[in-house]
Amino acid sequence: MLQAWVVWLLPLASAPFVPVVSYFDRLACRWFAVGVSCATAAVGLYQALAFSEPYTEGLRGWSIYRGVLAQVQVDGLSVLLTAFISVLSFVIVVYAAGNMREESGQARFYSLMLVFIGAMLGLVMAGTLLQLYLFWEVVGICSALLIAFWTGNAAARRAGMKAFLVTRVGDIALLVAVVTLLATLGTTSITQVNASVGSAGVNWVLIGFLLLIGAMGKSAQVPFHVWLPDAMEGPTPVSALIHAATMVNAGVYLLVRMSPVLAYSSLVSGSALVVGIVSLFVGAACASVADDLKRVLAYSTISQLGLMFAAVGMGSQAGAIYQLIGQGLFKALAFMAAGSVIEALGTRKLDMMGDLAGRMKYTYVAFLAAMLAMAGFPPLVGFWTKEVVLSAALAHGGAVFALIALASVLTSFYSFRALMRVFHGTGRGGVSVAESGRLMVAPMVALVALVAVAWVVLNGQGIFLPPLSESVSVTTVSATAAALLVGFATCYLAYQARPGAPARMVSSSGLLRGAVQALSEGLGFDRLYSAAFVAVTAGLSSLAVGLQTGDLRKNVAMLFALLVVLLALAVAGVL
Amino acid sequence: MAWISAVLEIQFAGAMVALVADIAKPKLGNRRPLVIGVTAAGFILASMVELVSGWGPVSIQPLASALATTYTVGELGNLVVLTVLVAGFAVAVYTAFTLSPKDNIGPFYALLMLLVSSSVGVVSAGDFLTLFLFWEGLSIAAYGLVSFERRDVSLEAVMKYFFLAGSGSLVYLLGVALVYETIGSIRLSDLSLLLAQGGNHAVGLAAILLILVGLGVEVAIFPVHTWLPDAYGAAPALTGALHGRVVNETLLFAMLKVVQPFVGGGGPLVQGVQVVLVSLAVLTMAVGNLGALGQGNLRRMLAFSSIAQMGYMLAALSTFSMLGLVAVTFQIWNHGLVKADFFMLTGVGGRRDFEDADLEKLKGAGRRNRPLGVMYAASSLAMVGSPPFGMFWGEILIVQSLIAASTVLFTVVAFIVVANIALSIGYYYRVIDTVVFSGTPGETSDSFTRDMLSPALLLALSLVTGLIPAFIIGLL
Repeated sequence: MLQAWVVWLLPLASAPFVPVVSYFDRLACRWFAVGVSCATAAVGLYQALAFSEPYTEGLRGWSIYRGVLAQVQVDGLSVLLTAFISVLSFVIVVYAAGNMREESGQARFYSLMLVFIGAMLGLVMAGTLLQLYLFWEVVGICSALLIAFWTGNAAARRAGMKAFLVTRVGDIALLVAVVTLLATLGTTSITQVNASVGSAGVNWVLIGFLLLIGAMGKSAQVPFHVWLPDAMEGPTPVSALIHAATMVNAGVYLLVRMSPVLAYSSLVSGSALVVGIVSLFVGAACASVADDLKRVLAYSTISQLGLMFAAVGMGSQAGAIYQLIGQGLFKALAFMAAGSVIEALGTRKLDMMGDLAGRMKYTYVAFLAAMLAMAGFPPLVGFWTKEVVLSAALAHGGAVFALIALASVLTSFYSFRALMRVFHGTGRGGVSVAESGRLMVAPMVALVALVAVAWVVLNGQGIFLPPLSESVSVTTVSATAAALLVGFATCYLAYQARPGAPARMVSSSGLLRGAVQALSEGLGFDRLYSAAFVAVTAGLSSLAVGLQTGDLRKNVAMLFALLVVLLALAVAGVL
Repeated sequence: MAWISAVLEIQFAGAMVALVADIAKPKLGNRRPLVIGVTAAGFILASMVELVSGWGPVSIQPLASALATTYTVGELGNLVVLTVLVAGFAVAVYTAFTLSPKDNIGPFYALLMLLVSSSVGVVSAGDFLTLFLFWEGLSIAAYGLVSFERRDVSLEAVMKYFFLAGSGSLVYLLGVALVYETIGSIRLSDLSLLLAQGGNHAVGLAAILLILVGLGVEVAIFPVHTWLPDAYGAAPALTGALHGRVVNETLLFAMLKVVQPFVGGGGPLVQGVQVVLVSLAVLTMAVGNLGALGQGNLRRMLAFSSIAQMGYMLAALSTFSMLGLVAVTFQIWNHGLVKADFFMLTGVGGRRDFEDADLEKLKGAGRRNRPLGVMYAASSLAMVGSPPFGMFWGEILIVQSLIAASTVLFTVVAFIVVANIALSIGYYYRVIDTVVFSGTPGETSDSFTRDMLSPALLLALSLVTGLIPAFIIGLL
């Protein structure tokens, strides 16, 4: 039988060979990466199909830390996500082979992509929190380096650094949680930690909050969301794989995996719900006004992840994981189609787009399917997965249900807005536009098929989640239908029937103008952080540098001042 | 014969051989640095073989006299000695390829061997007098190496270093005198007798604080850290790698040896020392990281980063727990490898002067030479504690030791340590951005030059440690 850890070790071990292959043939490395990701997907799928019962497997003899074995946890959740991540990674690597064909630095790109894929799979299969954290760090590093892939672009380099720094805030919390568990329980085994929830000697509420903060950083939840829109400076396949379909979902995975810890305190689970709802609205509102296609998708990712956090907060792990898979599929598809459009037009600005439906038919179908799925159009995967969350919200309480339904209107609005502004209306005259090549179209076609039929597979998988169809009710379907209709109608009126009306409305009202301006600037979080952290840190840094005068007399005086203080405290009995 | 005697004898012999070999200048010609450097590396390698073959605790007193020197090395000391020897070996190899025949080759390697042997002596000292003697030897070698190029800036730096370190030595001796006055012994293992002083602990406390502050000057703890950035800046990249790492960390280990007898003990004396150490640790790491953020010269940035690292290790030390001591020792190994590697990188390509390490001048260096770029990026990531490098586990151990102390104070300090580690990303990412990503690529090269060999070796060791940390931790 195939060892379970092969699935993550295969891409990790293959990554160093990418530069070697590239040394002999610069372009061959992409086929090598495609081959490795294909093999990984095959192993991932095999594991899912062969799965019968959960078990934990250690890498014999490889003790990574004080008796903690490197181990993989094979259960319904991990095999389901392994299959999902490995298949999606394969599709996106194929897409990258087309999208990145002209770029220099192919060896660096594919090496990092393979390391990322391996680490992401290692993360979802980790048997201990320590191991999970290790892979958590690796995916973060890959993400930052891939965002800054176009090193000639200063904005991309800044975005890479920003992503690394902001997500690190969450990493700090996660690290402290992991080490606290190690120091108090003596183990970070996920199974054992979950089984010990409530035991004495551990502050479970604190652990819950630390895990939540860790998840918020990686999953770009408010107020740690600021890195994700900027991360769109990276190549589109990176946005599709890392910043839409996989890494950003790691936070949700963590919360689901550690759900007993979250459920221990209603304060923690309630906080997850609040964070989710706030992110749901902030992301949706910003996506509704953004004028950069990739930023629209980034903000929508923040919003969709908010929905998953809300699901976890309500105790619906199934809702969160279904939404994770659904969002991963349609958002990856959306990014691929967006990449195709951006390559054709050479711009990401919505103002410079339009009337592409007839000229890029495959891309149009792909984007249409992605937007409809995101808006919750039946029977696409997004409809079914959102039903599960709405159903959980309905059981949780009317207010939460109403809020999520209201946010669905915004989701529907920004989805149709993006669709209409990119593919309908009037485009730039005289610009010749051609459909992307087969290497980019084929993966899009595959994902369109998945977005259309994935619900059938998910409904019958029987591995980890209850059937999708169990969650559908008249109330939830009505809410989705209403949101779809309201969103579509508003969009149609604004961008099809009366084009230019939104701009006129905004310019005629000071309040609206201010609101749009604020949303365009991401509600001023960046400015706030600049003032609160960057400026303070710079001030403290000047102070620290100022201590180092280079004056010998002052240096010796500081030594004796220290001695006087310490001896005085010792003699006075203060110490 | 215990390995400690063999190691010390080999090092002293090596120093003599380096000096004697230098007399044969005309015969060796331009190969002088290579021949003497490789010879010195061979002696250090022989010491390493001795250490590894005799790995284990050693306790000897060569002469049967009350005033005779004593040597005591436990499992922790073994790893620190190995760190010193590995760093010394790497520097010997590195300088063999980078020193010029016009340089003062013989004295250079003699000082190098003296530094290594003195460090081994400090680590293995069993009493305060032996520790002091080797410490002075260490300082003398360090003064010589910092001022090796005899430039004005290095002479000024060595004067500052000399006065401050000299003051530190005096403070230390005062502390030792108080210890002798109180317990009638200068053996490190007898320090625990101070715990028996009960309520009358003020003199004992003052003595320990004086000793720790005296040693702390060369560890560069706040507020006596100010000599280090000057010394790092002035020291040639050739030797800064060894000097910066070995001196700080050897003296930090000396602090550990002072604390070790109190592990597991309690009472007002221990609590008093803990409060002082943890306060200084927090200030040291904060000043180190904040200072590093404001630097435009990579060597000074590395100096401030080392101050921050001393802060992390001091925090673990202040727990007075066995886990804390293990964490410090493991981090000495990890930090020693990566910081020495980093310092050498700043000198790759003949960049010997302080100004050569200005980030503006290094802009794009890693784009023009890809192996160099990869090493800069990997070293920066290793320094911020990213997997798969050893520092990742070292920092985890430090945080774990703080949380395991099970007090609110140490839990808060654990958060502060982790926040400081995050702060360090600010400047190390800047290094990656400037050296690897920025600038115009111009003519690119994939050539791996000889001066990259030592940094690559150290980085590889850090990587191996990160992949099998349990092996190294298991040795402690």
